[in-house]
Amino acid sequence: MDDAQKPDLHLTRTAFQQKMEPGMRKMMEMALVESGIKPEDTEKYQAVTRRIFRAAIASTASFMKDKTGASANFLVRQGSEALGKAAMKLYPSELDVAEKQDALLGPDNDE
Amino acid sequence: MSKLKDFGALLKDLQKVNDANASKVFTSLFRRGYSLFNFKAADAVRIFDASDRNLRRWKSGEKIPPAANLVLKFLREEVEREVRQDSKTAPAKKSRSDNVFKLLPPSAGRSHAKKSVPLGRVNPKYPTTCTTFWKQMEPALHSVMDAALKKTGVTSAAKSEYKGVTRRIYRAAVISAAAFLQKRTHASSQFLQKQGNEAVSKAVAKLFNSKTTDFDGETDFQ
Repeated sequence: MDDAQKPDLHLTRTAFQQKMEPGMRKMMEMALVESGIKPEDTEKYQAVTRRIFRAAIASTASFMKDKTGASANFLVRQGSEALGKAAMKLYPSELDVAEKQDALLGPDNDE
Repeated sequence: MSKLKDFGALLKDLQKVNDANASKVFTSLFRRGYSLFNFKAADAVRIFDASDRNLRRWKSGEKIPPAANLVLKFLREEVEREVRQDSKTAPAKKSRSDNVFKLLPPSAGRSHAKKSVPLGRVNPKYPTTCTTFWKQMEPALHSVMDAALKKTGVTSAAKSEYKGVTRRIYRAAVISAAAFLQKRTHASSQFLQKQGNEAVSKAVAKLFNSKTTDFDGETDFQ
Protein backbone atom coordinates (compact mmCIF):
# COMPACT_ATOMS: atom_id res chain seq x y z
CA MET A 1 0.00 0.00 0.00
CA ASP A 2 1.51 3.33 -1.02
CA ASP A 3 1.37 6.46 1.11
CA ALA A 4 -1.60 7.89 -0.79
CA GLN A 5 -3.73 4.88 0.11
CA LYS A 6 -2.75 4.69 3.77
CA PRO A 7 -5.42 5.87 6.19
CA ASP A 8 -4.68 8.90 8.30
CA LEU A 9 -4.85 7.07 11.62
CA HIS A 10 -5.15 10.15 13.77
CA LEU A 11 -7.93 11.47 11.58
CA THR A 12 -9.71 8.13 11.41
CA ARG A 13 -9.59 7.70 15.19
CA THR A 14 -11.27 11.05 15.68
CA ALA A 15 -13.71 10.42 12.86
CA PHE A 16 -14.67 7.01 14.23
CA GLN A 17 -15.34 8.45 17.61
CA GLN A 18 -17.44 11.23 16.18
CA LYS A 19 -19.35 9.11 13.67
CA MET A 20 -19.71 5.91 15.65
CA GLU A 21 -20.56 7.26 19.03
CA PRO A 22 -23.91 8.79 18.07
CA GLY A 23 -24.89 5.58 16.26
CA MET A 24 -23.86 3.37 19.15
CA ARG A 25 -25.53 5.58 21.69
CA LYS A 26 -28.72 5.46 19.66
CA MET A 27 -28.72 1.66 19.58
CA MET A 28 -28.10 1.47 23.30
CA GLU A 29 -30.73 4.08 24.05
CA MET A 30 -33.22 2.13 21.95
CA ALA A 31 -32.51 -1.05 23.89
CA LEU A 32 -33.00 0.87 27.11
CA VAL A 33 -36.28 2.38 25.96
CA GLU A 34 -37.43 -1.03 24.78
CA SER A 35 -36.94 -2.45 28.26
CA GLY A 36 -39.72 -0.19 29.47
CA ILE A 37 -37.84 0.47 32.71
CA LYS A 38 -37.98 4.08 33.87
CA PRO A 39 -35.10 5.94 35.54
CA GLU A 40 -37.30 6.32 38.61
CA ASP A 41 -37.04 2.57 39.14
CA THR A 42 -33.40 3.12 40.00
CA GLU A 43 -32.28 -0.40 40.81
CA LYS A 44 -33.76 -2.04 37.72
CA TYR A 45 -32.75 0.87 35.53
CA GLN A 46 -29.12 0.56 36.58
CA ALA A 47 -29.21 -3.21 36.14
CA VAL A 48 -30.68 -2.98 32.65
CA THR A 49 -28.23 -0.26 31.64
CA ARG A 50 -25.33 -2.35 32.91
CA ARG A 51 -26.57 -5.34 30.91
CA ILE A 52 -26.81 -3.23 27.77
CA PHE A 53 -23.28 -2.01 28.41
CA ARG A 54 -22.02 -5.57 28.80
CA ALA A 55 -23.87 -6.69 25.70
CA ALA A 56 -22.36 -3.84 23.71
CA ILE A 57 -18.85 -4.56 24.96
CA ALA A 58 -19.18 -8.25 24.11
CA SER A 59 -20.60 -7.39 20.72
CA THR A 60 -17.63 -5.19 19.87
CA ALA A 61 -15.27 -8.04 20.76
CA SER A 62 -17.23 -10.34 18.47
CA PHE A 63 -16.90 -7.79 15.65
CA MET A 64 -13.15 -7.56 16.14
CA LYS A 65 -12.75 -11.32 16.06
CA ASP A 66 -14.97 -11.68 12.98
CA LYS A 67 -13.03 -9.08 11.04
CA THR A 68 -9.44 -9.81 11.97
CA GLY A 69 -9.40 -13.20 13.66
CA ALA A 70 -7.83 -11.52 16.68
CA SER A 71 -6.60 -13.79 19.46
CA ALA A 72 -8.33 -14.10 22.82
CA ASN A 73 -5.44 -12.36 24.58
CA PHE A 74 -5.46 -9.50 22.10
CA LEU A 75 -9.19 -8.95 22.53
CA VAL A 76 -8.96 -8.95 26.31
CA ARG A 77 -5.91 -6.68 26.40
CA GLN A 78 -7.23 -4.16 23.90
CA GLY A 79 -10.63 -4.11 25.59
CA SER A 80 -9.06 -3.58 28.97
CA GLU A 81 -6.86 -0.77 27.68
CA ALA A 82 -9.80 0.91 26.01
CA LEU A 83 -11.78 0.74 29.26
CA GLY A 84 -8.83 2.24 31.10
CA LYS A 85 -8.69 5.03 28.58
CA ALA A 86 -12.43 5.57 28.86
CA ALA A 87 -12.13 5.78 32.63
CA MET A 88 -9.39 8.37 32.34
CA LYS A 89 -11.46 10.38 29.93
CA LEU A 90 -14.68 10.11 31.91
CA TYR A 91 -13.16 10.56 35.35
CA PRO A 92 -10.24 12.91 34.78
CA SER A 93 -10.17 13.91 38.41
CA GLU A 94 -9.51 10.35 39.54
CA LEU A 95 -6.40 9.78 37.53
CA ASP A 96 -3.38 11.63 36.38
CA VAL A 97 -4.24 11.59 32.69
CA ALA A 98 -0.98 12.95 31.39
CA GLU A 99 1.15 10.38 33.18
CA LYS A 100 -0.96 7.30 32.60
CA GLN A 101 -2.15 7.82 29.05
CA ASP A 102 1.13 6.80 27.45
CA ALA A 103 1.39 3.76 29.66
CA LEU A 104 -2.09 2.54 28.76
CA LEU A 105 -2.00 3.20 25.05
CA GLY A 106 0.06 0.65 23.24
CA PRO A 107 1.72 1.26 19.90
CA ASP A 108 -0.43 1.02 16.76
CA ASN A 109 -0.97 -2.34 15.07
CA ASP A 110 0.57 -4.05 18.03
CA GLU A 111 -0.83 -7.53 17.74
CA MET B 1 -56.55 -7.64 13.00
CA SER B 2 -56.62 -5.16 10.16
CA LYS B 3 -53.11 -4.03 10.99
CA LEU B 4 -52.01 -7.61 10.84
CA LYS B 5 -53.45 -7.98 7.35
CA ASP B 6 -51.72 -4.77 6.32
CA PHE B 7 -48.51 -6.10 7.72
CA GLY B 8 -48.97 -9.28 5.69
CA ALA B 9 -49.20 -7.10 2.60
CA LEU B 10 -46.00 -5.32 3.60
CA LEU B 11 -44.22 -8.62 3.94
CA LYS B 12 -45.43 -9.80 0.55
CA ASP B 13 -43.92 -6.65 -0.88
CA LEU B 14 -40.74 -7.42 0.93
CA GLN B 15 -40.52 -10.80 -0.75
CA LYS B 16 -40.35 -9.05 -4.10
CA VAL B 17 -37.13 -7.30 -3.18
CA ASN B 18 -34.24 -7.70 -5.54
CA ASP B 19 -31.24 -5.52 -6.26
CA ALA B 20 -33.07 -3.55 -8.91
CA ASN B 21 -36.14 -2.59 -6.89
CA ALA B 22 -34.81 -2.76 -3.31
CA SER B 23 -34.70 0.99 -2.88
CA LYS B 24 -38.28 1.43 -4.06
CA VAL B 25 -39.68 -1.44 -2.00
CA PHE B 26 -37.90 -0.45 1.20
CA THR B 27 -38.88 3.17 0.89
CA SER B 28 -42.51 2.13 0.45
CA LEU B 29 -42.22 -0.30 3.35
CA PHE B 30 -40.91 2.34 5.69
CA ARG B 31 -43.52 4.87 4.73
CA ARG B 32 -46.34 2.42 5.19
CA GLY B 33 -44.86 1.03 8.39
CA TYR B 34 -44.60 4.55 9.74
CA SER B 35 -48.27 5.27 9.18
CA LEU B 36 -49.42 1.75 10.02
CA PHE B 37 -48.17 1.82 13.57
CA ASN B 38 -48.74 5.48 14.28
CA PHE B 39 -45.32 6.05 15.75
CA LYS B 40 -45.04 9.20 17.77
CA ALA B 41 -42.78 11.76 16.17
CA ALA B 42 -40.05 11.27 18.78
CA ASP B 43 -40.14 7.49 18.37
CA ALA B 44 -40.06 7.79 14.60
CA VAL B 45 -36.99 10.00 14.75
CA ARG B 46 -35.31 7.43 16.94
CA ILE B 47 -36.33 4.41 14.92
CA PHE B 48 -36.00 5.84 11.46
CA ASP B 49 -33.21 8.34 12.10
CA ALA B 50 -35.59 10.71 10.37
CA SER B 51 -33.29 13.64 10.00
CA ASP B 52 -34.40 15.92 7.20
CA ARG B 53 -31.50 14.79 5.10
CA ASN B 54 -32.26 11.11 5.55
CA LEU B 55 -35.98 11.59 4.98
CA ARG B 56 -35.32 13.34 1.71
CA ARG B 57 -32.99 10.60 0.60
CA TRP B 58 -35.35 7.80 1.58
CA LYS B 59 -38.43 9.41 0.13
CA SER B 60 -36.71 9.96 -3.16
CA GLY B 61 -35.59 6.34 -3.14
CA GLU B 62 -32.03 7.57 -3.39
CA LYS B 63 -30.86 5.52 -0.44
CA ILE B 64 -31.98 2.40 1.39
CA PRO B 65 -32.22 3.15 5.10
CA PRO B 66 -29.23 1.55 6.82
CA ALA B 67 -31.31 0.22 9.68
CA ALA B 68 -33.66 -1.81 7.49
CA ASN B 69 -33.38 -4.94 9.55
CA LEU B 70 -33.84 -3.04 12.75
CA VAL B 71 -37.00 -1.36 11.60
CA LEU B 72 -38.39 -4.63 10.30
CA LYS B 73 -37.73 -6.04 13.72
CA PHE B 74 -39.67 -3.21 15.34
CA LEU B 75 -42.55 -3.73 12.97
CA ARG B 76 -42.50 -7.43 13.66
CA GLU B 77 -42.45 -6.92 17.41
CA GLU B 78 -45.35 -4.54 17.15
CA VAL B 79 -47.40 -7.16 15.35
CA GLU B 80 -46.29 -9.91 17.72
CA ARG B 81 -47.52 -7.75 20.58
CA GLU B 82 -50.87 -7.47 18.86
CA VAL B 83 -50.98 -11.20 18.26
CA ARG B 84 -50.29 -11.86 21.90
CA GLN B 85 -53.12 -9.57 22.86
CA ASP B 86 -55.41 -11.22 20.31
CA SER B 87 -54.39 -14.66 21.53
CA LYS B 88 -55.50 -13.81 25.03
CA THR B 89 -58.95 -12.84 23.85
CA ALA B 90 -59.29 -15.34 20.99
CA PRO B 91 -56.83 -18.26 21.29
CA ALA B 92 -58.27 -20.06 18.26
CA LYS B 93 -56.90 -17.36 15.97
CA LYS B 94 -53.31 -17.90 16.99
CA SER B 95 -52.33 -20.44 14.37
CA ARG B 96 -53.79 -18.24 11.67
CA SER B 97 -51.80 -15.31 12.95
CA ASP B 98 -48.61 -17.35 13.02
CA ASN B 99 -49.02 -18.04 9.32
CA VAL B 100 -48.48 -14.37 8.63
CA PHE B 101 -44.96 -14.59 10.03
CA LYS B 102 -44.10 -17.43 7.70
CA LEU B 103 -44.12 -14.82 4.97
CA LEU B 104 -41.03 -13.26 6.52
CA PRO B 105 -37.77 -14.03 4.78
CA PRO B 106 -35.60 -16.02 7.21
CA SER B 107 -33.19 -13.14 7.69
CA ALA B 108 -35.66 -10.26 7.95
CA GLY B 109 -35.34 -8.32 11.14
CA ARG B 110 -33.20 -10.91 12.81
CA SER B 111 -30.07 -11.28 10.76
CA HIS B 112 -27.91 -12.47 13.64
CA ALA B 113 -30.57 -14.20 15.69
CA LYS B 114 -30.13 -17.94 15.64
CA LYS B 115 -33.48 -18.75 17.21
CA SER B 116 -36.76 -16.91 17.04
CA VAL B 117 -38.31 -15.57 20.20
CA PRO B 118 -41.52 -17.53 20.55
CA LEU B 119 -44.68 -15.56 21.03
CA GLY B 120 -45.75 -15.11 24.60
CA ARG B 121 -42.28 -15.71 26.07
CA VAL B 122 -41.87 -12.19 27.40
CA ASN B 123 -41.77 -11.92 31.15
CA PRO B 124 -44.18 -9.11 32.00
CA LYS B 125 -42.25 -8.27 35.17
CA TYR B 126 -38.94 -7.85 33.43
CA PRO B 127 -39.97 -7.36 29.84
CA THR B 128 -36.68 -7.21 28.04
CA THR B 129 -34.12 -9.83 28.84
CA CYS B 130 -30.40 -9.80 28.21
CA THR B 131 -30.91 -12.19 25.35
CA THR B 132 -33.32 -9.78 23.71
CA PHE B 133 -30.85 -6.92 24.11
CA TRP B 134 -28.21 -9.07 22.55
CA LYS B 135 -30.34 -9.98 19.56
CA GLN B 136 -31.48 -6.41 19.06
CA MET B 137 -28.20 -4.68 19.54
CA GLU B 138 -25.59 -6.89 17.96
CA PRO B 139 -26.74 -6.56 14.34
CA ALA B 140 -27.14 -2.82 14.77
CA LEU B 141 -23.77 -2.35 16.45
CA HIS B 142 -21.98 -4.47 13.90
CA SER B 143 -23.61 -2.41 11.19
CA VAL B 144 -22.37 0.84 12.75
CA MET B 145 -18.86 -0.57 13.17
CA ASP B 146 -18.88 -1.97 9.65
CA ALA B 147 -19.88 1.42 8.28
CA ALA B 148 -16.96 3.03 10.12
CA LEU B 149 -14.61 0.39 8.76
CA LYS B 150 -15.81 0.95 5.20
CA LYS B 151 -15.33 4.70 5.58
CA THR B 152 -11.61 4.18 6.04
CA GLY B 153 -11.35 2.73 2.56
CA VAL B 154 -8.90 0.15 3.88
CA THR B 155 -9.57 -3.36 2.63
CA SER B 156 -8.62 -6.66 4.19
CA ALA B 157 -5.99 -7.02 1.49
CA ALA B 158 -3.90 -4.43 3.34
CA LYS B 159 -3.58 -6.72 6.32
CA SER B 160 -1.65 -4.54 8.74
CA GLU B 161 -3.64 -1.34 8.14
CA TYR B 162 -6.90 -3.29 8.20
CA LYS B 163 -6.10 -4.74 11.61
CA GLY B 164 -4.99 -1.33 12.81
CA VAL B 165 -8.19 0.49 11.89
CA THR B 166 -10.37 -2.38 13.09
CA ARG B 167 -8.60 -2.28 16.43
CA ARG B 168 -9.24 1.45 16.63
CA ILE B 169 -12.91 0.94 15.87
CA TYR B 170 -13.08 -1.76 18.52
CA ARG B 171 -11.47 0.49 21.11
CA ALA B 172 -13.61 3.48 20.14
CA ALA B 173 -16.71 1.30 20.48
CA VAL B 174 -15.68 0.12 23.93
CA ILE B 175 -15.09 3.71 25.00
CA SER B 176 -18.47 4.77 23.62
CA ALA B 177 -20.22 1.99 25.51
CA ALA B 178 -18.47 3.06 28.70
CA ALA B 179 -19.55 6.66 28.14
CA PHE B 180 -23.15 5.48 27.80
CA LEU B 181 -23.03 3.61 31.10
CA GLN B 182 -21.40 6.51 32.88
CA LYS B 183 -23.91 9.00 31.53
CA ARG B 184 -26.93 6.89 32.38
CA THR B 185 -26.00 5.55 35.79
CA HIS B 186 -23.01 7.63 36.95
CA ALA B 187 -21.22 4.36 37.54
CA SER B 188 -17.87 4.64 39.25
CA SER B 189 -14.64 4.26 37.34
CA GLN B 190 -13.89 0.96 39.06
CA PHE B 191 -17.36 -0.43 38.41
CA LEU B 192 -17.17 0.53 34.78
CA GLN B 193 -13.82 -1.14 34.26
CA LYS B 194 -14.74 -4.25 36.23
CA GLN B 195 -17.99 -4.74 34.33
CA GLY B 196 -16.34 -4.04 30.99
CA ASN B 197 -13.45 -6.40 31.61
CA GLU B 198 -15.79 -9.14 32.72
CA ALA B 199 -17.94 -8.65 29.63
CA VAL B 200 -14.90 -8.87 27.36
CA SER B 201 -13.61 -11.98 29.13
CA LYS B 202 -16.99 -13.61 28.92
CA ALA B 203 -17.34 -12.73 25.25
CA VAL B 204 -13.88 -14.10 24.55
CA ALA B 205 -14.68 -17.33 26.36
CA LYS B 206 -17.81 -17.65 24.26
CA LEU B 207 -16.08 -16.75 21.00
CA PHE B 208 -13.27 -19.19 21.58
CA ASN B 209 -15.49 -21.88 23.09
CA SER B 210 -13.51 -22.06 26.29
CA LYS B 211 -14.83 -22.47 29.78
CA THR B 212 -14.89 -19.42 32.01
CA THR B 213 -16.01 -18.32 35.41
CA ASP B 214 -19.63 -17.29 35.50
CA PHE B 215 -19.03 -13.79 36.82
CA ASP B 216 -20.99 -12.94 39.93
CA GLY B 217 -23.37 -15.74 39.17
CA GLU B 218 -25.01 -13.98 36.25
CA THR B 219 -26.29 -15.68 33.18
CA ASP B 220 -26.00 -12.76 30.76
CA PHE B 221 -25.50 -13.57 27.12
CA GLN B 222 -25.53 -17.33 27.45
